[in-house]
Amino acid sequence: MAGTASLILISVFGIMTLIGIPIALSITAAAIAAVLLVLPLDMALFTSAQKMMTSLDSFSLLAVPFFILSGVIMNSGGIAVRLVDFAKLIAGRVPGSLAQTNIAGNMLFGSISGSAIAASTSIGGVMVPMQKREGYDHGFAAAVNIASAPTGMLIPPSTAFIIYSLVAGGASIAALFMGGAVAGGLWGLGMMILTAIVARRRGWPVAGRVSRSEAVAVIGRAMPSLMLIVLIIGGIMLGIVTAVEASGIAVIYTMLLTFVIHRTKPISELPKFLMETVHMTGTIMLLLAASAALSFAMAFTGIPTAVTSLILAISEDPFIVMLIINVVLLVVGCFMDMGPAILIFTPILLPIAQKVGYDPVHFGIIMIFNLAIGTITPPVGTGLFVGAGVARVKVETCIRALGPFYLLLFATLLIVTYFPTLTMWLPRYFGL
Amino acid sequence: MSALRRGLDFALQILCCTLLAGLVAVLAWQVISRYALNQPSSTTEEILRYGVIWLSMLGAAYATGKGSHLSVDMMRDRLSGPGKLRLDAMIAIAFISLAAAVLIYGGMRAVNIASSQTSAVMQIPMSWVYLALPVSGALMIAYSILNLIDLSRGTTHHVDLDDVEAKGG
Amino acid sequence: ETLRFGYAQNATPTVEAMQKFGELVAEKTGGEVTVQFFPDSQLGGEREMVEMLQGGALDMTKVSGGLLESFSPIYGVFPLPYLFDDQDHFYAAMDDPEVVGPVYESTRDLSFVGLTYYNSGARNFYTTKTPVETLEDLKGLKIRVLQSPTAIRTMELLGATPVAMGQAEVYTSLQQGVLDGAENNEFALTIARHAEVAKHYSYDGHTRIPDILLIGTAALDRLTEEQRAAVQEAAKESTGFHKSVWDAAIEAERKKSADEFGVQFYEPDVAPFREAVAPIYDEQDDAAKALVQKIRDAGGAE
Ligand code: NA
Ligand code: NA
Repeated sequence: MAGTASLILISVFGIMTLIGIPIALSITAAAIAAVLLVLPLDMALFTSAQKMMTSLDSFSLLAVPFFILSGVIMNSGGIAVRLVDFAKLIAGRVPGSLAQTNIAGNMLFGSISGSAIAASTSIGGVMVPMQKREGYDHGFAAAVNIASAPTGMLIPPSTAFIIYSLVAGGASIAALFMGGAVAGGLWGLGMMILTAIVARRRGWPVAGRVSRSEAVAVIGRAMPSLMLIVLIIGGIMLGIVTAVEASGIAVIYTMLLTFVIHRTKPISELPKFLMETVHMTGTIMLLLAASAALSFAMAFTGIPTAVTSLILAISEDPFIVMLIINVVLLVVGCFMDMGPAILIFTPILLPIAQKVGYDPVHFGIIMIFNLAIGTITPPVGTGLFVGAGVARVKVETCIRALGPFYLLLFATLLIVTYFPTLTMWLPRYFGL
Repeated sequence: MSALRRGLDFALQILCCTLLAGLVAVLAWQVISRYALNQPSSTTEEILRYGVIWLSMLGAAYATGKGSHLSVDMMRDRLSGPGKLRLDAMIAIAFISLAAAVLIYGGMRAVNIASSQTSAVMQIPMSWVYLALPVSGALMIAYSILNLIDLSRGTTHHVDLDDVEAKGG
Repeated sequence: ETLRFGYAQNATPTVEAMQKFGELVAEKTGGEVTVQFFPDSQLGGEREMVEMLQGGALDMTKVSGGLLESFSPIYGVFPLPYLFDDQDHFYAAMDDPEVVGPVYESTRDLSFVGLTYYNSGARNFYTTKTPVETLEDLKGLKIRVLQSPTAIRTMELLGATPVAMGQAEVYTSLQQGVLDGAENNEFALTIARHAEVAKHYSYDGHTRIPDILLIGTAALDRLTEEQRAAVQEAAKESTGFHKSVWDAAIEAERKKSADEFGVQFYEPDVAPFREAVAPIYDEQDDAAKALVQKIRDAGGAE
């Protein structure tokens, strides 16, 4: 049955998407078609509707509309420009400095907010338009944002590791966090190096030297905007506010700067900003809701278990087994969301990995790294879709630009998989 | 017909702007109540969660009218003008069928089932939350019909993202 | 006939008891009825799975009795603080069909009923900075509670500041100081690894909320008379099995928390705690008061 279900799922989704039907609709249709194998139509429709609703009822998504709103206001109200001037002052001599700032921003923000979607919308929502204005290739700007947003799922704190630890029967969260920090750091560093190479090759502008007085002026102008970053990141790190509350503070603060302090826009523009946010939230959330219905369909029809047992019958050599596990996870991650994938695959794959000598902590890092890549790969990648939506760049344009980043990430995944010391030295140093 | 669309847009804009502005206010209140008054409000989180669900579903319907849901346009870019219109008609019909089946039929089943439940904190009926699905579905159908009518007159609402960029919009 | 059974993440004894239930059903029906498990929230959260039972998409699930309060108000009695004197009283009351029968049946109109219960231990406070040794220690501490009015009210009466949040956020919130503490059984220390960030565990035992095994009425209707009886029996026996492994499992968790994580355990005098929450019983409606009385009478000390 799982075989039939996979076939139905892939063909319905594939055909509808390639014709040009909106992705959210194609995903929903594929989910219903697969569930129909085990449930009558009325129940298939009910469970799909239920999954769509409940997936939106999530703590980590709560902040998304507010971060989008603050991003929209920042982009129009001169805050973004001031921040970018500041970034250029600090890192302007580095090739592709704006893209580099985007990567660093996503690592930092994704780390503290714990949500790749929140990072991609808030940091990317500001940085991608700026990069476009500065003459960067649109697809590339979107791709940099998309490919760096998932680092926040590896860099602690990270809900993904907490969920993993729970299903893995209690692997140390502290150790996972430390290993995740190293793995996420590697991911980000690789992105920065690759970006620098591309930027230099394509000759994107590097900021010229500025005089001291100019520098002081830039810093002075950026001060109030920098306070926003201090407020949000400091607030979350010190445990004063949650990520959701920080998103609210971001909205109020950007409104204050734009309408009252800098007065770059009249308050009468607010409804326009609100509507832009609603519009963007609607397209993003419908995609997330549809993906949840698809993940449920896969779990309910037993696709994950079937795929695993099929492929793992092949070998017992640790090198090969881990390679196969990675391929399985990459394939699965291409269709399934991170949360359900962790819940379903940890109990199946962890025992196999342990049998060939893998530590549960190391395996957790491999797994989350792998699934994080899955969120930005076609055909179903919420990070990919959201990033494309935020950047207002076509999905296929993004995918093309993401090519080199995919190669980089696969290579990093192999390194993380086969060189345990690399990610494990930090937790081991602390005796975990 | 364009009057009808303008009316629908306007009503939805009023509703969504009020909702989003209200949610920002609630969020601000949550921060104030927790830190200034040292009395966290558990009600606010629930309002926010359910408010975001409604906002998302209404936003999804609004985006249907604007033709801005994300799609892969490889084939579309190779089509002639009339071909594009036929594809858009197909998309409108796909929206109508799926909205009717999943959001309205499936959503109403969920509304009925949830009518026996109350939310954990505010004790409001959970069916009010699930109602976001059929309402959004009905709006999606309304917009898709308006889109179909416009298509029959040769106007498409499909947003071509890379074109938007090229024009600097 | 296959019964589709979905459940969330659980402590080992509870998972074993549910698996045992599956084996017993197959055994007692000679393989006519089998149970297909969807573990670890693969199909969704507990609330979602109850709704799937109502819609007929799922046949069985096991959820916290606290969650069921939002489906049937009478379940709101179980999260009441100090409802049970101790574990023996808990077992005596929960094993009494006079007490729990009407509660299990209260959701029949909603298309599902209770079959049996599993012990989920006592919920105790654990904190990051200072231990809770007296009621005074709890004053103003930000404590994570379940998203339930009763849980929130209990914290207010105890003088703590309740923060309702989902399970997945608790670890990080404790670490970052958004929370000063939480309350749960010993498994939260080890399985959810909260012992990595909270080292003070105080046995005040404010609540004992049973887990409830549920079955959809549509699923029951699909079974023959004999098969239904077999399912009922299997459910009861799985509870017996659960009791036989629970105490040792809890003791193991306690030992592990102390040895591996250095958790300190405290035994506060709970009399002031009981006194502080007493008003909550006056705030209950008549149906709830009646059930409370039945529970108190079922081997209760007072
Ligand atoms: Na993180
Ligand atoms: Na993917």
